Amino acid sequence: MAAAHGVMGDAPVRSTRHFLHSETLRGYFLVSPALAALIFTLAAPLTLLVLYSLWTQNDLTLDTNPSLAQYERVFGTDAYRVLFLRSLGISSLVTLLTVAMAYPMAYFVAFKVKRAKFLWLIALTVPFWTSYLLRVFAWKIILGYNGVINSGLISLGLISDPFEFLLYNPTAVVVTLAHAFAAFAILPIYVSLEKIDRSLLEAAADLGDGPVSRFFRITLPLSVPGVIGAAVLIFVPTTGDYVTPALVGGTDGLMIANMVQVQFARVNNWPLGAALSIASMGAVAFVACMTIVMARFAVRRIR
Amino acid sequence: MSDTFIHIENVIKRFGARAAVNNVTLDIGRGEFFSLLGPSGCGKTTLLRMLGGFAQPDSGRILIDAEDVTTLPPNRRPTNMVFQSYAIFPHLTVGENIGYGLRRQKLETSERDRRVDDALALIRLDGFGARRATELSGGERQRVALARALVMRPKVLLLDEPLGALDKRLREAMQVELRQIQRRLGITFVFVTHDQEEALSMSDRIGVMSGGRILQIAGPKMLYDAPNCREVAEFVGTMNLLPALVTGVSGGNVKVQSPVFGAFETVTAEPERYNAGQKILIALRPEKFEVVRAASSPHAIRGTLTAVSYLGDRHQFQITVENAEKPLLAGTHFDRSMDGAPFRSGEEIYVQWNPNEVVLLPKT
Amino acid sequence: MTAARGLLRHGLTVYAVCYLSFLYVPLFLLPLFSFNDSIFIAFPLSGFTTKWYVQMFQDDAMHRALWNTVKVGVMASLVSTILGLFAARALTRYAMPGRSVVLGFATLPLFIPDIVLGISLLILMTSVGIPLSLVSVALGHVMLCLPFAIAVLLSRFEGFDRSYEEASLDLGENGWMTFWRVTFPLVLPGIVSSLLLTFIVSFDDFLIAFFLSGTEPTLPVYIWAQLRFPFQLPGVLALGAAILLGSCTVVVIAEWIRSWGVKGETHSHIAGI
Repeated sequence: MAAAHGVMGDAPVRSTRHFLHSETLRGYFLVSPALAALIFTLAAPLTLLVLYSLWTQNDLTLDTNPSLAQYERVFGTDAYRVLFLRSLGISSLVTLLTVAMAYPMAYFVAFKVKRAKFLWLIALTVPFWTSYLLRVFAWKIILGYNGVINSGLISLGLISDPFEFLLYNPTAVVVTLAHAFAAFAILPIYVSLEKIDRSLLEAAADLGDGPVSRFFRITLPLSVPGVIGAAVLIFVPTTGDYVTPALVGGTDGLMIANMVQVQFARVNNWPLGAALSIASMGAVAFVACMTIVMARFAVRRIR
Repeated sequence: MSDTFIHIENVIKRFGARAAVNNVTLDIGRGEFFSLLGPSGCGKTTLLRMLGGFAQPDSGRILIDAEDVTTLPPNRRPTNMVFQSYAIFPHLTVGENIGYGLRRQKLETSERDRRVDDALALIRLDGFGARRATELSGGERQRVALARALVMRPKVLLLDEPLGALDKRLREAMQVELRQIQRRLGITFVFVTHDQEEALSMSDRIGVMSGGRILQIAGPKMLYDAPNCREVAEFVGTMNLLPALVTGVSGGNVKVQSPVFGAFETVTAEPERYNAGQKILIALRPEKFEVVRAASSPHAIRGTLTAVSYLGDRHQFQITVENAEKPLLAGTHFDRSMDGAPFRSGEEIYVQWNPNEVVLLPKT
Repeated sequence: MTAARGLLRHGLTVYAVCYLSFLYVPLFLLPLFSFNDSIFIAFPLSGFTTKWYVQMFQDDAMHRALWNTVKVGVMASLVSTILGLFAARALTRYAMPGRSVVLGFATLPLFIPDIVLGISLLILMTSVGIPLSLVSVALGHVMLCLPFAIAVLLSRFEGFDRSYEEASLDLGENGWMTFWRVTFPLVLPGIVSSLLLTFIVSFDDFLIAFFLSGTEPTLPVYIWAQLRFPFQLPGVLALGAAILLGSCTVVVIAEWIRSWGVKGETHSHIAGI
C-alpha cells in the first residue's frame, strides 16, 4: 500500500517544514523590529556610555585609552561622595514615605471599594500621566518664599513673616518626589492585594484570626511582592532624578543627576559625567538588591 | 460502519518528548456520530485538532473523503469546528457570526441572508440575528457556534467538548438536540468528551483514548458490556474488578477460579486470549448483582451490607465480602427485598450473579 | 469588634479622600492662579483675568514648540505602537524561549533614570553623526514609549482567546483576512489606547528632549526655559493649565477605550501598566 511509503517518505520533509515555520522563529521575527529599535536606542547608547566612562577628557581632546581614572575621581572626591549619599538618602526616604502612604490607599481600593473601582484607579493614575515638569513646578509655587503656603498663611494672619525653610532644601525634594511617584507605588501594591484570594481571609477567620491578625498573617505577607515592586519602581528613578532637585532643591538639595548634567552641558567633561551616571546606577542597583534580599529574609522570619 | 469517510493512519504528534497522540489508526464512517472519550490529557483534543488542521501530525496521514488533508490548513479543509470556548466573535452580531464564513464564498447577499436565517431556525434562535454576541447566554452561544459551523455545510463537524460549560439540564437537552440535528443533516460528527454518559447516550461508536492511544473502539452497548481492558472498564461506568485465575479453556468456554466468586465457567468471544494458569481480572457491573436475603442460586456470595446510598433513580449497596480487598458495589432500583422489608446497614445478605455476564480481562 | 471594624472602614475612607487631595490640590493650583490678575503667584487672589491665556496664544515661540512636540509625539506614538503591536503579539502568541529576557529588555527604560537615557542618547547621536533635531528626539521617545505600548497591548492580547483566530481559519478565511476581520478589531481598543498614552508620554517628556532637541525646543523644553524668568511665570501657568486639562482628557479617554470589551476585568487592566 502506498500509505506506508508515504509515511516513511514524508517524515523528514515535514520536520524541515516544521522548523522553518516554527512557532519560536515566527515569534522572534515579530519581536525583531522592537528589539532592533531597543538595541539602537537603549543597548548601544548604554554601551557607549560605559565606553565614555573609561576615556579621559583633556581640555578639548578626548583620550580614548581605557582607564579607570574617571571612577577614581568619582569615588575619591568628597563633593561627589556627598552627592551620592544625599541622592541615596533622599530616594530611600521618598521610597519609604511613598510606599507607606500608598499602602492604605491601595488597600482601600482593593478591599473596601465595591462598585467604582475603575473610577478610583483612574483618579489615582491620571496625575501620573500629566507633565512631570508641571507637577514639580506646582510644588515650587506652593513652597516658594512668596508661594502659596506662605502667602496663604500670611493673608489668614497666622504668621507675619514667610517661612524660609519650605523651599530649596532636601525636604522640599522629598515631598515633591513623594507626590510625583505616588502612582508608581499604588498600582503594584493594588495588584498584589487584588490578587489575594478572598477565601484565604475567610479561612483565617474560620481558624480564629481576628481582623488585625488576618492582616498581619495573610494580607501583608501576600502583598510583599507588590511592595517590593513599588519600592524598586520608585527608588531607582528617584535616585537619578534631575528636574525636582533642580527646581526645588536649592544648593543643599542638589543630587547626582544635577552633577551629571553639569558635566555634560557646562563643563563638557563627558567621560566624568558618564562615570558618574554609571556609578550612580551601580549604587542604586546594589542598594535595591540588598534591600530586596533583606526584605525577603525578614518576611521569612515573620512567618 | 458502511464505508470509510475519515481515515487516520499511524498518526503521531509529539509535544517535546511526550507523545500526545501515539500512533493512532482509526476509521470513521460517512454520517457517523463518532465520539473520542478519555480523561483530560489523553490526546483526544489533539487528535481532533489534527482533523481540523490546527495541529499537524509529526508522522502519519489523515484522509477525509479519500482526499489527503494531512498538511492542509484549516481554511482549506472540508471540516468545521465547534470550539470548547465557542469562540463567538464578540465584536460581531449573532447574524454576522453565523454568516462569517459565507462572506468568503461570494454568495448573493439574499442567498447569504437566507442561509443565516435557516441556520438560526435550525438552532431555534429565529430573530436573534441582530443581537450582539456578548448578550447571549451560555446555551445560546453554544448553539450559535453550532450554527456557524453547520452553515458552511462541512463534510465533517468537529466538536470539542461543546457541552462541558453548560449546566446538567441544558446539557441533556442539547445532547438530544445535537443527535437530532446530526441525523437530519447526515453530517459526520466527531465529538470529543470526557463525560462517558454523554458519549454513551449520543454516539454511534466511541473510541476510548488514554495516554495518546486508542484502547477500544466500539458501540456504546458493546463498550459498556464488554470492555476489552481494565482502563476502559474503569473509565466507562462503575465496575467491580477482582483477580482470578484461568483453570482451563475449551472452545468458547473459559474455566475460572476466583477467591471471591469461587469456581465457574463462562463464555468469551476471544478464547484465544486466555490459557490455563493465566492470572486475569474478572469484571461485573453493579447492576448485574442481585441482592437477596436468602440465596436462590448456586452463584451467590455471602456478605455484610456496610453502606446504602440513595442515588435518586437507584440505590447503591456497598457489601463487604470475604477475600476481597475492596467491598463489592451492587446497584438496584429498590432498597428492599421481595418480602418488603428495607435492607439495613450491617445486615447479612447474599449477592447473586450470572456467570455469563462476567467479563474477563487480561491482567496488564 | 464591629465598632472597631466600622472605625477602620471610615478611617480608611477619610484617608483615601485626604490622599486624593494630596494628589490633586497641587495640580488645581495651576489653573487657579492662571486666572489670577497678578504677576505674583500668591494669596490673596487679586481678581479674575484671561490675559495670561491671551498672552500665551499670541506667543509664536510657544506655537513652534507646541507644533514640534505634536510632530515628535505623533511619530513616537505611531512607531512605538506598531513595534509594540508586533512584540505583544509575538510574546502572547508564540512559545518563545527567552520571552522574559525580551520583556525585561523592553521594560528596562522604566528602571533607568531619564538623565542617563538622555545623555547616553546624546552620546549615540554625536557618535553616529545624527544631528540633534526633532528626529533624534523622536528616536529617543520611541524607546521611552515602547514599555508603555507593550504593556497596554500585552494586556489586550493576553485576554485574547486564540480560538477566535482558529474559528476564523476554520470558517475558511486565510491568515491575512483573519487578522483584518477578527484580530485587528478585537485589539483595536488597545491600539488606540496605546497611541494616546504613548503620545502623552512623549508630549510630557522633558529630559530626553532637553538633551536631544538641539535648536528646536519641544514644549517642555520651552517651558523649562521660561521658568527662569519670573515675569513669564503666569504665562507658564496658563500653558500648564491647558496642558494638564488636555492630558487628563486624553488619558481618561485612553483608559476608557482600553476597558472596552473586557467587562469585569477593567481594573486589572489599568493596573497592568
